[in-house]
Amino acid sequence: MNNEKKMELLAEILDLEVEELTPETKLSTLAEWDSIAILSFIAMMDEEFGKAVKGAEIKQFETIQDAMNVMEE
Amino acid sequence: MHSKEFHNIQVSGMACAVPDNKVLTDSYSGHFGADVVERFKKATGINARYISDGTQTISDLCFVAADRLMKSKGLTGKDIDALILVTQMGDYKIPSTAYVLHKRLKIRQDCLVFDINLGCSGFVNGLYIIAGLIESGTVERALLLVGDSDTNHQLTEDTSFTMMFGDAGSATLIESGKGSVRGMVRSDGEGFNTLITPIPGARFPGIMNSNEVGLQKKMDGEDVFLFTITQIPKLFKAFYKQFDTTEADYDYFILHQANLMIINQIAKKLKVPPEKVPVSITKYGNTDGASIPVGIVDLCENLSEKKKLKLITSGFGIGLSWGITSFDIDSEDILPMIVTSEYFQEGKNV
Repeated sequence: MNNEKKMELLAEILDLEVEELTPETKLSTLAEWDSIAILSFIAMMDEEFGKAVKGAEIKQFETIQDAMNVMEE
Repeated sequence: MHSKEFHNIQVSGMACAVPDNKVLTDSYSGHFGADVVERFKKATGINARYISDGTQTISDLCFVAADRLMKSKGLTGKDIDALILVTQMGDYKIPSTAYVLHKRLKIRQDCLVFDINLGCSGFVNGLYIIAGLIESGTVERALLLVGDSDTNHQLTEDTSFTMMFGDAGSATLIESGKGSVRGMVRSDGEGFNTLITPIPGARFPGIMNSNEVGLQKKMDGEDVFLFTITQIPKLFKAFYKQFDTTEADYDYFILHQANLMIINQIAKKLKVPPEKVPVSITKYGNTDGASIPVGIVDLCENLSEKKKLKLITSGFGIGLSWGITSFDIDSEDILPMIVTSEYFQEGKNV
């Protein structure tokens, strides 16, 4: 999956427009990066990549890039 | 191993009761802010819940549900061979709260009575156990009472604990008859601490109000979510295979109402059309073990005509514990939702 598509998935989870995000965007600056976004991320990983990602791992993400790094099958 | 078709069993009646205290999710806007509340509503689906004001415990709600159910079926306490209460919020640390109900429902001594401590998987596990007792001939007619009533609802900084859980008690009548019940259950004690409350004793809410480190209730939401969306679809597939059945064989999928994201995710993974997956969390919140009976009561209340239904139900959560049961019901046997303010004064004076 290319980065463009990954960003689209992340924007969807965050209820934001894809233009509002860059790989460098810090998650801590986004009010939308909350417990519900984390659950959505878990669901997306399961659905799109068939991968089980633990909450503890997701909470370590600092940037959008960190999130994109685990978005692999 | 734990999957079985039990024969000559009928789920022949059901009733649910909720406290007469409806709270709209929007009423928390002042506490959390309107944006947070909107986002919570969208993700969980919860617009309202009925919650105990601190007096009504699970035995109060189950009493009203069971009493009405027995009356509607023309039964008295002489007709019941087993009374099993599945709850994690019993009235006392000991004895089993089922004994409070045994007294209040005036059930005979020739009866098997005990509590099972389970939450969201409580209905499926309870039905599985009772089906085994009936099939073996040990029991002819049983009352399965399931639910939780939190007598200590608090306004905290935690959106889930504050706005998620509704209170409800359910009563299901299960008898020997011409139907069958299929069940499959799973357990994983590795997750014992993903959902945990170390202090019991719902009849005395003050004692539960502990701020001691390590004693507060805890919910590891992400891990529970991950467990649910991966294990429940897997169990459905195993169930279909075991019993040579498919999604098309059921009229409705009654899923534990944990939150809308989980319900939608499971339905999506199982490719079940949304119209076959009723949602009742919007009105009642997450009512723990009662949520499957609450879902059935809500469904039958909204049917345009009385009919026989083929149901498949799945409960999952604390334990960790998860399971599936399938059975037929006649919607005529399902009472409409009861709203009550009754409680057992004598239970306070012990």
